[in-house]
Amino acid sequence: MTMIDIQNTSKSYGPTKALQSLTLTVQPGEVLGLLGPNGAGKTTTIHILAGFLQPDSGSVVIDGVDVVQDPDEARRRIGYIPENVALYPFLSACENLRHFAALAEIEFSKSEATERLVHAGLASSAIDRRVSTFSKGMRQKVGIAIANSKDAKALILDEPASGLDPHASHELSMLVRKVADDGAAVLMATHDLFRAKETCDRVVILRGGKLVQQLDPQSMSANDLENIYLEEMQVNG
Amino acid sequence: MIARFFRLELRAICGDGRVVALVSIALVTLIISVWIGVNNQSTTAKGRADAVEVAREQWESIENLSAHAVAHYGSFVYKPNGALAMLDSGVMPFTGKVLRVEAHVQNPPAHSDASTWSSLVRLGAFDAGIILAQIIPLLLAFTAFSSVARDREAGLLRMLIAQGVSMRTVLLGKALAYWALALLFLAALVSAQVIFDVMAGSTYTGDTLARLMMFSGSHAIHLLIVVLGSVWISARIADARSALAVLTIAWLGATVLMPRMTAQLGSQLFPLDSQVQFEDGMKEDRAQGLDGHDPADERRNELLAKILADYGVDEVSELPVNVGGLLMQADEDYGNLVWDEHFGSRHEVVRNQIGVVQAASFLNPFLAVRGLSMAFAGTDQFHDAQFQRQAEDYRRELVLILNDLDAKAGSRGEDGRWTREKVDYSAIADFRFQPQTTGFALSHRWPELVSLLLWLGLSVALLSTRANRIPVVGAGR
Repeated sequence: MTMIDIQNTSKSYGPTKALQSLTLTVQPGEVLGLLGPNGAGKTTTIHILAGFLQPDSGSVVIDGVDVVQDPDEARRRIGYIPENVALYPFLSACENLRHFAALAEIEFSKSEATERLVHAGLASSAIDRRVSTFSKGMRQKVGIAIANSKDAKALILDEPASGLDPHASHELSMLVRKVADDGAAVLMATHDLFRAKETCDRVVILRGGKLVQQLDPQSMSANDLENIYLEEMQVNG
Repeated sequence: MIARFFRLELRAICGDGRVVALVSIALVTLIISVWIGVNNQSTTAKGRADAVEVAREQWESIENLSAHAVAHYGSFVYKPNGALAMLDSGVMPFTGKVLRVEAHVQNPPAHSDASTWSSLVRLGAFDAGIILAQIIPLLLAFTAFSSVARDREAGLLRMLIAQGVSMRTVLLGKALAYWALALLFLAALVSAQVIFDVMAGSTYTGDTLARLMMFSGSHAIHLLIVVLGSVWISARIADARSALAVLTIAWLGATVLMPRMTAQLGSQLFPLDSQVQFEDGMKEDRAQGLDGHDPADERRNELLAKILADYGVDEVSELPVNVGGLLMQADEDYGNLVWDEHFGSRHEVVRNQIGVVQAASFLNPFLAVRGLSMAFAGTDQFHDAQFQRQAEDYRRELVLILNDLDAKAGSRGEDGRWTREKVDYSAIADFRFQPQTTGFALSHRWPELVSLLLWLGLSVALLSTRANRIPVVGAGR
């Protein structure tokens, strides 16, 4: 069964067409990378999937639930990680995770929350620290733990590795891969072609709100992927 | 779930040093204002008690004066402050506190507090009612303007919503946290009021407690409307700075501009005669009646003829009563009718002016809470009119007793001359003001109460039904 199903979806901001009849699907266990320059429509796609924005036309379905018709139910089935994970600065990592999990009606004991944070890659010494002292990488890890707290069937990531150092970025890729291997469908918007090749089963290239290319990154080298991407930008630019 | 957001927002508020400083300053100001109010109240009450005592001593020391002369000599009545007047002084500082009661003349209350204020006091005069209705909402606007906009700008809102929580839950939780902050002020105020009052030796009747509860309840509802509105605007407006600008303009419009415009409109629609015009009108109408003092007055002589006929005598010297007292009372009765008509008309104009403000309160909850606050503190125009009404009733009763004594306390001698008995004037009771009940306040201020409840319903409904239209992400994202 298709987990994420976007059909002929369009969205405009005034005269600007952010998405034009976009159609794409993500299967359980698959990581789909959304590539494209700034303004290509990646974040708009993510926001429509998360129910933050309503499409002008088309359908968006997650695990059989129409996002437009029933956004609350659709949100229960997704985990979401933005480019910059925002947390309550006066709470510790553990308290943040327990709070966000509780919003999804999941109660974690302190030890369960700790275990999940460690699993997300956060150092155990940081678990009880206020997140206001955290680096971006540490916050992203808490964000992953939060997104995973629901054991969601679909994970939506909006440039999650942006601003992370290579090590943290690699760790993040491994975590995403693991989530997908556990059966979740993952849609990940990114600028990082190398990381896309490392993580994704399939990538699509967006330009001006349109899907212009679909590729299997595992069947090509990182250089080939970069060349195709740059070529696509030039052709369509 | 709402409780969870309530606790977190409260924690965020407490963690913001600027908010803590603002709240602390406001709390101290509030408590000082209550303390000043209670002190002023005690001083005023003592001054009033002294004046009442002196006036009574003067009254009781009257000797060898005829009842007619005493009726002209008159007495003074003093307006007591309501038990909660220091919470909201309402219109009382601008209305007279002392009224001279005498025969033939209905004097207006004189010596208002405002007439003795210096210009500095005029600028700085405020009380708890104003602080709660006007200053605390501004403070709430300054703290709540970023409550949602800040989370949206930081990206926290989208993380919360993505977890499956509804926007309504987030907004209500936040609003309740700011309401708790507002209730802290209200509780501090009421507690300080009761403590200072009890320390000053006051006792609370059941009705005073009921008034205190209604006063607190009205302000609590108004403050809830303010926080719901502030959170809503913070949620609807794209960024925190714009939200602050909108809230500041809304505050100015609601608490500064609209009240003045409404009062002006009321005065334009229902103009009130000046005190001079009122007194001139009374004088003119009284001139149409009987003049008990003028032997040439036609109506007086008609009445005299009727009295003689009623008693079956031909001459005044044959009457078993002093005809002067009867004539004076007839003069008084006519004057009372004139006063009733003029005062009634004047009061009706004031009622109509208040009606304009009450109608406008359906557009502005600040107007509603101001009316309720004054009413439950016992300091609005309706309560003031009650003092004038009771003082006039007392005047009439006093003059009636004195005219009756003038007519009957004495005997006619063989020579037909009337000899007055010595009268003990101390037996005539002093003025006792009967305070109005909470029901009286409610019976006159129900439109404001309905307005406030409608505003509350509207605010809650807005947050409950329209929250799903709140943008989770900023414009263009």
